[in-house]
Amino acid sequence: MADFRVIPGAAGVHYIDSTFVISRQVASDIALWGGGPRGEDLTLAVLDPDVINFFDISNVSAPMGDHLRRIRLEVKDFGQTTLQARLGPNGPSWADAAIAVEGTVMVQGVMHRAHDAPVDGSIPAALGLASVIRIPVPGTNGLAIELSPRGWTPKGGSTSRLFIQDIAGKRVLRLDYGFNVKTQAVDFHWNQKGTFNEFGIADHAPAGAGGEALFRGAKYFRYGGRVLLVAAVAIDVYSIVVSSNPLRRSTQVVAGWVGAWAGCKAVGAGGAYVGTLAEPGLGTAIGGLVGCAVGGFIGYETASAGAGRAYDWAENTIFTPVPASDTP
Amino acid sequence: MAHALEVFVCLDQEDSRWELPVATMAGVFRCMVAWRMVPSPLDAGVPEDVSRLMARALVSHALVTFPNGRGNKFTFIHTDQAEEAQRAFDAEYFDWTQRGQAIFLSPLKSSPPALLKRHIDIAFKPEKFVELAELGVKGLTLPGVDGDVAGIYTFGDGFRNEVINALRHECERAAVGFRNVTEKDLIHELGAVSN
Repeated sequence: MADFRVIPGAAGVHYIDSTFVISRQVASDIALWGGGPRGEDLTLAVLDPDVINFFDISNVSAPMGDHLRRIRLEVKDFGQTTLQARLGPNGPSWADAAIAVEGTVMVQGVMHRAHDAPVDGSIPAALGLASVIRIPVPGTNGLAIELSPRGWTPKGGSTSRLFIQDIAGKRVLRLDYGFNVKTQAVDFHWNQKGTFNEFGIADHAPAGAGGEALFRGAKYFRYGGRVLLVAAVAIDVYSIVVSSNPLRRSTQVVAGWVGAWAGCKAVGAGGAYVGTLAEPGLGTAIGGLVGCAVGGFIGYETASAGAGRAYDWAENTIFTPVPASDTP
Repeated sequence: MAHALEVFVCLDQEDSRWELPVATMAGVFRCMVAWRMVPSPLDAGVPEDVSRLMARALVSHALVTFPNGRGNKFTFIHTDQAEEAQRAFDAEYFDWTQRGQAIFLSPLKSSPPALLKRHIDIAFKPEKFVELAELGVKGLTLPGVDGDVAGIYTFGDGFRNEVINALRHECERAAVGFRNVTEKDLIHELGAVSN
């Protein structure tokens, strides 16, 4: 009877999902307890010698107890393998230890993010994209949610912060703050041109407390979103630089951004549609922006993971040319 | 449904809430034009009847120049025709309702001013109006808050009076009410729209 064990307090090793996850930075020690059926010493062997080296350092380290051997593992490359304790060099395995190098943890065919893997830009990208993308509003003949006007404005910009407008900016419903000639007060109100049939909101209609909150949120989100976008790009570039496989990581990043863009558009449109049913204008904008952020995150993660799998498949696939033949 | 229309001219506009330049340099004269339509239009923008009156009044005493197009692919349109000048109030990219338009006025039967894109910015900076005057511009028409009012700025008192008189004349011709009002009265009159 024998088994591999974590040594309490040992650095550089974590036991996760029946796997010894070892660090790339420091040597990791684990323990082998027991022996063969008649007490024979077991022989160590690793199935993939390209991933790790191992050394029995029992004789040069403090004793751990009866029938316990200290095994030092050193990382050679990313990947996973199995360390076996055999009855003789070519005998049957008496104890197995699944070993995985941090950063490339794969358990039962499913890739998990290693705890020391750099974060990706999915969250800031999803949030940031919502501040710059045109989020379509279904059933409105080309209207989309945006945080900037389509046309020219004098220096200082528009007094509006949220726009539901067509590509030319000709038809627009915008959330504005300023003097309202109808209410004779400086207030938060809607201005609209050519969108009354879609939203039922007349020009100068007061936007209420909800409109005020949305205006303020959109005001900060417009700039905050752009900052998040820059942060997302920086995070993703960093993740490529520190990756052991930059080409694979680049593929994931590009796919992630495309997925985020598509997810933002698709789920954002759905959110805008549902929001319009709840409250035209206000609900449209909130539904669209929230939907865009959620869709962007889902799209990023899905596309990035898919691209990683596709890359792995392509990298491990060998294409054999079809032999030439004279006869059809 | 028939609309009742009245046009107002205000000479003592000082309130910054109109979002029109107030502190102008010496030699610049200004007035504000507003309108009241009953019932109120659903859409923002200058009502067609008003833009027609304004365009006719402007071209009767000036060559009208305004930007038209999109992004950097825009051109300045110069015209002395009211129908074409009316387009300035309904342009897409240079949107009057978002204070994105500037109408330049220069003497009739003279070469149009050699304007560049930066001059559109200058139109909103009264301290730099002298640069426009040097190009031959003798007045401006700018959108105020939400495009609900128009500011007329002239580089000479006589020209301002000519434009106001032309607008009065066009209103009379179209059987549209025309009144000179104080700023205080104007606020009251526009507020009456929704009452």
